[in-house]
Amino acid sequence: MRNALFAAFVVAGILPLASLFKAGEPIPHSDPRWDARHAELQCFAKGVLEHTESRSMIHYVLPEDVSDHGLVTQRLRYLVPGRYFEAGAAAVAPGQYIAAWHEPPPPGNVVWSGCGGVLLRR
Amino acid sequence: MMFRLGQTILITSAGAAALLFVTWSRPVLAVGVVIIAVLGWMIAEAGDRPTAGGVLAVALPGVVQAMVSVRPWLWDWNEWLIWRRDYFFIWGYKARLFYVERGVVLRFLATWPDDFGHMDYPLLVPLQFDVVAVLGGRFEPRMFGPFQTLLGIALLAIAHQCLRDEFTPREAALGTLALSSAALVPWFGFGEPTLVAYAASGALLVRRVLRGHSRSIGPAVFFLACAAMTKNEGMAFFVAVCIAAPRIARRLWPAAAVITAWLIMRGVLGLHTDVFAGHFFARFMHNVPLIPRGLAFMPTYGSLTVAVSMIAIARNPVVHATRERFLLVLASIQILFYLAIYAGTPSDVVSHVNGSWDRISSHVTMLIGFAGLMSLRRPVSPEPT
Repeated sequence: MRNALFAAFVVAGILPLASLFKAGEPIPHSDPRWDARHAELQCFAKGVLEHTESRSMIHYVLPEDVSDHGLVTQRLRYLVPGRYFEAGAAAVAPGQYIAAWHEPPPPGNVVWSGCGGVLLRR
Repeated sequence: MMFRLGQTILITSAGAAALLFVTWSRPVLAVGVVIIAVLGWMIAEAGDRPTAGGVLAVALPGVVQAMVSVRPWLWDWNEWLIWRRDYFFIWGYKARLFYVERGVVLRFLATWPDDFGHMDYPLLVPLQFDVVAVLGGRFEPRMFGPFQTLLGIALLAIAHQCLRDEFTPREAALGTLALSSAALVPWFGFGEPTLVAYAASGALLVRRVLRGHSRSIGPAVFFLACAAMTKNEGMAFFVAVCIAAPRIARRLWPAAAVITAWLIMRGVLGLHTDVFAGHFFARFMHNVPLIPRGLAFMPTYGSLTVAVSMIAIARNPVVHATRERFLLVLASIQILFYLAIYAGTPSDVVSHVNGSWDRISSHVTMLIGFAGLMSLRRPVSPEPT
């Protein structure tokens, strides 16, 4: 009984690790159609990081299909840390930025453009 | 040596993270890490000479885990996988923020609203990621996986010594293998691998103190303090340790001091947690009946290990449960804390449970697994009183 329990312990301990190497398991990618789109958004976000100052406020205008139920703010924070993000460009104060990606840009001075988007400053 | 090395890894990792409050210079940090490692080695308690089986039981699962942890899609921002959110929203976000700013900008974090970013969490995990990034010369998230695996390996080395205290070398090696998935949890880039490494190491060493190894108290206190600086659950873990081991609770005061200092700083900065905000009691009454529905389809991490442990303990429940009461009471209190937090959550409780139970149940797998394994030991010497 003791040896059987010992063996059971070892199997129970190894199984979760072994299951990480399931043969033929597909990589749990998100929808592959989005990969290129997200990559372009990532490229744009890197440009925004390089062309804005720490603590600046960035109003972003993005297509609805990348909103991720509003969580795109949290996703952008990772790529552009140290800045504040606000969805939409309805209330932009002077000096604040607008990042429009695959959307018609609102009025403002162009700071940088590329990767499918434009960064403006009021 | 392996026991000592495990403690040194955990001490150095935490000490290096603290250095980032002083410097972000790569050469200075590198020198600091070496100095802390040497000091850590001197402070750490020596253990038995490792056997080949023991080394293999610690290293092999670690190598497997490290290989799994560097799979690119885990760290790719373009993969908007729901279950990887916590890395990008909490742990990786803060690490990247500090790295880009070259500073621990707590006041900036305090200006964010309560959302998925958990701004109220302590900072050990992101700062440890930053140590890896600064020493590596660039922010490369894939390196965080092997780093956290190293912490898990350190825990396994400590668990191996605790098994060696009471088992034959061969049984200790097999027992270490049995505990490998409890030490090496698969949520790379999250708080869990770090929390489990420090909390379980602290608990196993407290158990060792309770069994007469008084020298283990220093590392135990340090690791419990580090666990508390990982996530709020680590602070709850410390409270649970104090309740489960009242005899030595007063000797754990340095960890309590660290937690108090953090809570004061958190309060001053306004990094509030949302669990106790608003109408807590009303939420509690509303959520409690819904918790079973959330748990119904969620697996408990290491459920097979837990089941085997229960069977092993049930062979002579009074003797085994009494002997391992510290670990079992600690695990029970911690789970009760989690259920209480679920009951008070301002989020949808079923979603909250579904999104976290498998992860947070991993916090106590090592404790239950170790207690179960111990019920298989053959007494060879009188029990310490």
